Amino acid sequence: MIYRTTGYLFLLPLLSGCVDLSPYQQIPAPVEGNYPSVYRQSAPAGNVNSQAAKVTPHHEVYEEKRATVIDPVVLALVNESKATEQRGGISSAISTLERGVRIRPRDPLLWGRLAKLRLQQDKPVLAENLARKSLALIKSGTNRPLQSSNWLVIAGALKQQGKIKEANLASQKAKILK
Amino acid sequence: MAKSRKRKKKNRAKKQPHSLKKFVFWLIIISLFSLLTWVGYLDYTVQRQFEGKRWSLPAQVYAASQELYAGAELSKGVLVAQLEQLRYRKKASLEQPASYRLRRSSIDLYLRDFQFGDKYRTAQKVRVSFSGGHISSIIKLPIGQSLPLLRLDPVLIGNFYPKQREDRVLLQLNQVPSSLIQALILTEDRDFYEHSGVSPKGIARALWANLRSGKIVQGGSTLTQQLVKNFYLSSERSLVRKITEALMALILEVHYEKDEILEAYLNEIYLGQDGRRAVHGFGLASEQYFSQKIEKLSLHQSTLLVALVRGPSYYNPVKHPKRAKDRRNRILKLMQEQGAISAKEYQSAIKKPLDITGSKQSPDRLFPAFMDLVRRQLLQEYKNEDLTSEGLRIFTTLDPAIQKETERVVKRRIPQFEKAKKLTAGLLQSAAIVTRREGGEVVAMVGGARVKYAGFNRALDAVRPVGSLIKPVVYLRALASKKYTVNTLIDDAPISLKNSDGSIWSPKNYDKKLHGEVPLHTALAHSYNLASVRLGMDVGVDNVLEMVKKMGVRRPLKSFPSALLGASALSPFEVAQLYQTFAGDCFVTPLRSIQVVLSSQGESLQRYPLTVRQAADPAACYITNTIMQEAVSEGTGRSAYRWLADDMNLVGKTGTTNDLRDSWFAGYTGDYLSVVWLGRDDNKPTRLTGASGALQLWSEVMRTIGRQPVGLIKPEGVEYFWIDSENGLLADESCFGVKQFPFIKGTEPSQLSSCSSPGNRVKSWFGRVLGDQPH
Repeated sequence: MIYRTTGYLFLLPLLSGCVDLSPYQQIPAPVEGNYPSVYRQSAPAGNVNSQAAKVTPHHEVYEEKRATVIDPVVLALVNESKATEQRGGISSAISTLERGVRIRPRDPLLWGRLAKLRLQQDKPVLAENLARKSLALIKSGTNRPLQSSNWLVIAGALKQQGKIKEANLASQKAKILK
Repeated sequence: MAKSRKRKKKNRAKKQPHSLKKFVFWLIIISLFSLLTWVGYLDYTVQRQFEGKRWSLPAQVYAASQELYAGAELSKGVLVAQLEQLRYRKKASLEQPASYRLRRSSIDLYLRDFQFGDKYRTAQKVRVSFSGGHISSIIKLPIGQSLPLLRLDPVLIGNFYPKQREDRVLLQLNQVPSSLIQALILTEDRDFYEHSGVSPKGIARALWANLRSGKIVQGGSTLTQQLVKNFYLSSERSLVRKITEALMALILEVHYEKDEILEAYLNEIYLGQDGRRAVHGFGLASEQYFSQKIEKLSLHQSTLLVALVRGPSYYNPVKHPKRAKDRRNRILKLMQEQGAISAKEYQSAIKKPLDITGSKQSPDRLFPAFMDLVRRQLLQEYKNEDLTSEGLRIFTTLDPAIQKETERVVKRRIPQFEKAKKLTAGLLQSAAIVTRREGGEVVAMVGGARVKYAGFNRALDAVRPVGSLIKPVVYLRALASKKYTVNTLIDDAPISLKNSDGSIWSPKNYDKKLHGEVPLHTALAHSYNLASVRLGMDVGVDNVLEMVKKMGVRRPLKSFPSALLGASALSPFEVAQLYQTFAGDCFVTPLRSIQVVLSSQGESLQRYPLTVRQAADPAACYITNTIMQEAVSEGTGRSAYRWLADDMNLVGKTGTTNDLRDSWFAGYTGDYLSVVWLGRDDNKPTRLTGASGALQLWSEVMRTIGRQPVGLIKPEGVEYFWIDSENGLLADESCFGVKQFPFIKGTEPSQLSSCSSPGNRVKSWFGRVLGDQPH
């Protein structure tokens, strides 16, 4: 993991300069739990708390990689989308992010950005669902800034739908995660 | 009496000259009137057609673009194949767009201009480098700036034609190189700018030139006449038609400027055939023969296009290269003689090869099932007339490589199954859909065992009982109720239920055995019918069907107990929609085959955006997905791992219906979801189960296309606990034989097991599952 993260360190100055990638700027949280995809049997007796039992299952490693390293493809498309958005081309900015989803379908940042843009377009139901989808793609306990930003979108979307009480709860969640 | 007869005769003789004159007079009047009416009619016809929309432009349908980026799994060979398909030309140096140059471990590309669904890309030169079957880098040439992402222009996969299969790329006169116009006028109509539609001088000159050379080198018809012939008239050869043609040419010249006529000619003229598509106009011909926009053509290329005017099939440069080259060079010679080009230009051009792009294009244009889906989705927004005449540009989600792979597998396996199961050849049918795991984009669709046959599209229209494919919804609904956990024991014992008509329904297990009390996950993984029906009845059939609806299936399903075992019928497309929701963590994303529709001018008319809607509790969804992983790794879908790597963590479910009439498999890898159905149109048994039939096809397709293992992300509401297999209670990890299971927080067992050692195991439900209890 250290190797993988340091491999992308050279990208950090680039990021701070041009993209709000705060969701990716945190130190990766420790891998939580050790749950298998198919129910895993415990290690033989006597091998209590062995390292083997703590190994993260393969698919979790894959998702972890997605969630913590900065993917140049995602970065490029998020950048492009932001630039397009600033020029007023919000629907083009959305198309660019959707192109990203086609290449990196399980990247929560892309879904989170889509949620933000949909909220700007006054499409609160879609924005809320996109933000929830982004949350579903973040491994619990990691990527708190993105989680927070998604809860903010949800709060805004709920407010637009007149669900004030739920919106306040969502805002609180966003604050806690910040 | 006799006298009077004589008188009458005399009178008649006297009257005859007078009536003849009268007759002739009226004949002339009527003829003149008819002629004038005819000319008036021709005048009306000429103007009406020329003023209005001159051509129906068929819609262009594109596949999804190949995305290139560092790390993408794409070998050099595959990229070259794709470039060839896109009619890029292999060159020693990159001078024109749509060309490429091979290097040892990289490819230099000169990408052509292209209007994508979201933006316009101008032509650019790049270098794509490879390492071990992957793209290692992409840089811009010549500067060397690194590019994070690049896409190839998409493959044209079809057109929606009006009655005639004519296609063209409309041009304006100022786009056309002057050398092309000079060559055209010199060979076809030297007096074009002088005559009034018909040229006696031209006819005489052509006659003389043809006599002198012994071959037809010039034609007598003016460009205006040729335009009239192609634009207004049939190909019939008769004197009347020739006169009509001349008259219409004169009329056209009265009403319109020379340049307008020339521009129409350049767009109208037939210049060859591409499979069943007729290539009209120099714009499309330029793309067809040279993969170039007309503005970029060199002298030798534009002259070749002019050479085709006289006979597109006779001078077909692919079939008759020598003939085509001779004619091209004769035109070049004429140009030099007439001073249109210099001797040096002439010498250089005649040395050039024909320089055309290969002709392998049509086979990829035939994806009938997918095109049917695209058309149906479009017809919700557009009239058929718009699809065939407005020149719409439709950007779809199809991945040609995956489509071809799916077709290959269906074509290969169906006859094998027929042989193995001793079925009459041609009776076994199939349908397959492949989608991206997220986003709902359909990347491949096969509508029958004859994959290229555009008939009954089973992927959309074969509505068949889904069998056990419905079960995961029953379990999802049960888990979401929090009354059940992954380990709740369910009795797999005989059950009899009353149908709405009063009849008694007594389902059986596929293996005809009874499995006693089994944990919930085992009942689904092994697809036990009795346990599933018992669970479903407790959850409520209506609740299960409501969940099916929430998960994106619009077809109303009848509420009766046997619906719990999939007696309800759905199409493969609807099953794909249902499983797309499972694959997307229980967020519904409607299946899409179109990304965007552009007008012929490149304006965005309709986008089909990515939408999601949460359909079920994420925790229950996650647990159901893990049980479906068990269904593949240890249950009915085991044989998938004969084809795919153990660490793919596949999620899926088999489906088999009564008497083995339908064989289904639905499942996904980390990147693609696929649903396969096998059955017969006459609904007779196939002798195949979901596992022995559809799963085999599914696995073979997924082995090739699936790259990513399934990564299920545990939602916050789920916790894993170590469970004692003996009694289903919480246990310590250090105990022997304990397993980890996911629980919705708060539903885990509260009691702690007194950790049992291997020596004193007692008979338990787990033991019974392993076979201690008689069935």
